[in-house]
Amino acid sequence: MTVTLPDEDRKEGALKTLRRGLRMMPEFRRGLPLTILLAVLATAGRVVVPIAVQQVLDRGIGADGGPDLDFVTWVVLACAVVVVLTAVAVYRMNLRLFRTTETALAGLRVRAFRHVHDLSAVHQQGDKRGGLVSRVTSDVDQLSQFMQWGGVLGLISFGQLLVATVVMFFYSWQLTLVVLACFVPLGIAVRWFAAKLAVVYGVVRERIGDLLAAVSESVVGASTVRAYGVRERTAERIDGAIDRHYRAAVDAQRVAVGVFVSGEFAAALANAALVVAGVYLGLAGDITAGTLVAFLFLVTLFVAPVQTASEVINEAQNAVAGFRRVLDIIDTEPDVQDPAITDPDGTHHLPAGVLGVRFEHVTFRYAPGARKALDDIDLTIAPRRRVAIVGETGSGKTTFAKLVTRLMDPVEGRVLLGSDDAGWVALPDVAFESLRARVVMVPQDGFLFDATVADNVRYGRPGIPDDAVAAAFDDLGLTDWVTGLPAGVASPVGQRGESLSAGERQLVAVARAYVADPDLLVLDEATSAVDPATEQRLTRALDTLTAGRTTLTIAHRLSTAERADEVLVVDSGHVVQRGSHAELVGVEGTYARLHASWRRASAGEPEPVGRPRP
Amino acid sequence: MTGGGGAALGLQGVGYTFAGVERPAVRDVTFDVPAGRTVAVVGPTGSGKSTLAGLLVRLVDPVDGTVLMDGLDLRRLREGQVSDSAAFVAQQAFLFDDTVRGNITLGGPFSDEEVWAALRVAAADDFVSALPQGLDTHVGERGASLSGGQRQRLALARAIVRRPRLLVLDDATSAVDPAVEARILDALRSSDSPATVVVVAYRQATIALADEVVWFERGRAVARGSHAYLLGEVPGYADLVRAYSQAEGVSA
Repeated sequence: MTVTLPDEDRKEGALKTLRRGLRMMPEFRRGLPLTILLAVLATAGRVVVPIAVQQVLDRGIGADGGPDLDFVTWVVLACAVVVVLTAVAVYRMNLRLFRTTETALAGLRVRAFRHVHDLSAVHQQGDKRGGLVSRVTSDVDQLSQFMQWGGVLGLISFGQLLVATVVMFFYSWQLTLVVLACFVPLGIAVRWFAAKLAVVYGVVRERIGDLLAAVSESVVGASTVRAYGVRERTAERIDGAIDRHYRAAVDAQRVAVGVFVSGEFAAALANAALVVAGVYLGLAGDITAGTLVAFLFLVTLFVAPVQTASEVINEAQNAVAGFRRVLDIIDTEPDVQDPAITDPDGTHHLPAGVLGVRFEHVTFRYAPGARKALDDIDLTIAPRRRVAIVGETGSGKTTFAKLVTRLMDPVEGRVLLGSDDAGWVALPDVAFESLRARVVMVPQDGFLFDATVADNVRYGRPGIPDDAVAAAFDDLGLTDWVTGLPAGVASPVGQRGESLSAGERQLVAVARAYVADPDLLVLDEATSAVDPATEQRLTRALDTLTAGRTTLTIAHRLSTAERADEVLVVDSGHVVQRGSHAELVGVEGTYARLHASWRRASAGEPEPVGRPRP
Repeated sequence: MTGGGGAALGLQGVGYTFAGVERPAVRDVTFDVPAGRTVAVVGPTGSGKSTLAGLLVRLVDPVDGTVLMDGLDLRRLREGQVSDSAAFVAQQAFLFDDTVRGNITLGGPFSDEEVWAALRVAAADDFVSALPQGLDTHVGERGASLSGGQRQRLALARAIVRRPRLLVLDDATSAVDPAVEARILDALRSSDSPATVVVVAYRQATIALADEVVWFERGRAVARGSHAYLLGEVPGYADLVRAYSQAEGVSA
């Protein structure tokens, strides 16, 4: 698989990304001046030791009237006090940095997650879900690591570099030039390395996403892998992903080590040049012994930041790459836009009362050039109608439901909700908040969270007490089922609801929809078989749930179509028939054929073989 | 992998208990499926049908007893021998993050003609040819870009293309039309050397396709016989079949 970095990786500079990102995290700037003041104190403290050494050598031990012990003692004590103060400043600064970065990153994570949810179903299918998860988790972690370690180091290193240079100039400009001459070439090389690091770290992070996806696939698909004897193939895929990640990581380290070694080399060169030049200057009487020793100390101060700077650049590139990927998500325009965000001043509410559905010449395709999933649909469903949508797999039933709930927007035409009395509003003009409160979809296999039954029902109406949840089950005629659970509504459902059967999960999903009290319900009927007792309960609960509401059901069962006020028959993206079961069943057409096939399925008659498919 | 006709299955006192669970999921199951026969396994939810399906293709080994294929204990077969002769389609179709072709061949040596033929039998050829890149279309992580029914059809085509000697369907046709289901079984059984099929079923139409039905209750194979025989002799069977037909809207 080829790795494609987002275009912006090449277009946008690291600084620009950082600036853009910091703008997005206002929390980060809060209290920054004090933190920077502490950083200045922390770095200034570092040059105290070299200065003290020089003072002790030149003015204490080498004093004109013999060694001056009082002076030495005084200098050493003063030095000790400054060192302690420096330590305190470093501690305070770190604490502040940790607090602000964690707050800021938590905010960023929330924004990124929210945005992932705003991206429509179409976009989430394109991007790999494992990749999305890694963007909001490990990429943000990378950022926090940089801001808390690399960032601190970088800040202190830069200050240390500055202060050390100033002190060096004060002592001897000639020696300072010698040191600078050794480090300037490195400064140039580091920029080149940095550009390279940005690329290789981008690749590494991409490969980690692939690796996560490959591993999770092999876990979830374990029984398929075993049944088809494709263990080797699966292992090869994982090995391949591991190997590609490994090679990318080694490539990245090769560059990183190059940066580090260059720093080391420049440092050694500077030390050697300093000793030689220092001795010459000393013999010439330009500098004192104390100055040369202080210089050697100062150079170590100078060298350490340069070495760590290459590490910091390393981490910074890494963090910028991660940052960019997080920003990429936030930058992705959701193809379904919430009008409350794009136009915060307007009112975007659905009309009052039970909602009808109107399609105006709606066409949808899943990708440009793909077959039309729905083709020029034009119809109105009056409020309070219970409509069953039937058709074969791939006929466009599900697309219909996704458009009504605005998981996607049509390619052409528009979908409106409302009624003739209260008026009709096009979906793109409805705030998500209003839409989600009034229109509820019950999917085939509703997602249950690893929590209690009551918690899962509460997703429909956050904040309601357990009593209200129990009352909802009572209204739905499900009290006998709930009380039969080990801990009633407080029973845990397990991860993804695995402690419950498929049918029981549907009961929870129905209760969730019931407490949400929507005006329009979209039900995607489950295809998998449910045991008869649960089936009966489900039918009863659904009757209560749908009473008085407009209901669109993607029907897989004949009984649902029979009970509906109206049946819409969808075939190849068109509504080919519409009417009540009684009206349609007697007429030659798609519905009569589907019905006959259902009847045969239920009655146990074999399907005529060799007959052309309807 | 294609030759030899259907595989003969034998179960002798087979039992299986999940780790950490006291009650066995399957216990003391003994029955034979002669080569080329189609057997439907029917029973209430939680009666051990899926566990049994997994035992037949050696997803798990029995705790007690033996599962035999052509008289040989599955545990004694060389690795890969079971998956060479048997195909299994689970309730939840699983697709790999790969192309349509890759998901069907799983790297096996199948030509595009064979793949299309399998897709045709599974009634998946229409939607696959409508995909932007046909067989080369990536289905996304776990087939995220396809509907449940489409995923199930691809999983069925994956089994069909192998011309297995034993096909085990664990409620794998719930989202496909009974006509398609009939065609799939017909394609596997129409040759001179038909495959053996074991199908965990709920629908009457599916049951009707079977030569024989095994009735499962609480992990045991309680009764066996034709649909008509079980309807008359086993009250539980009649109740269940009727309940499911009612759920589908027509009385049995």
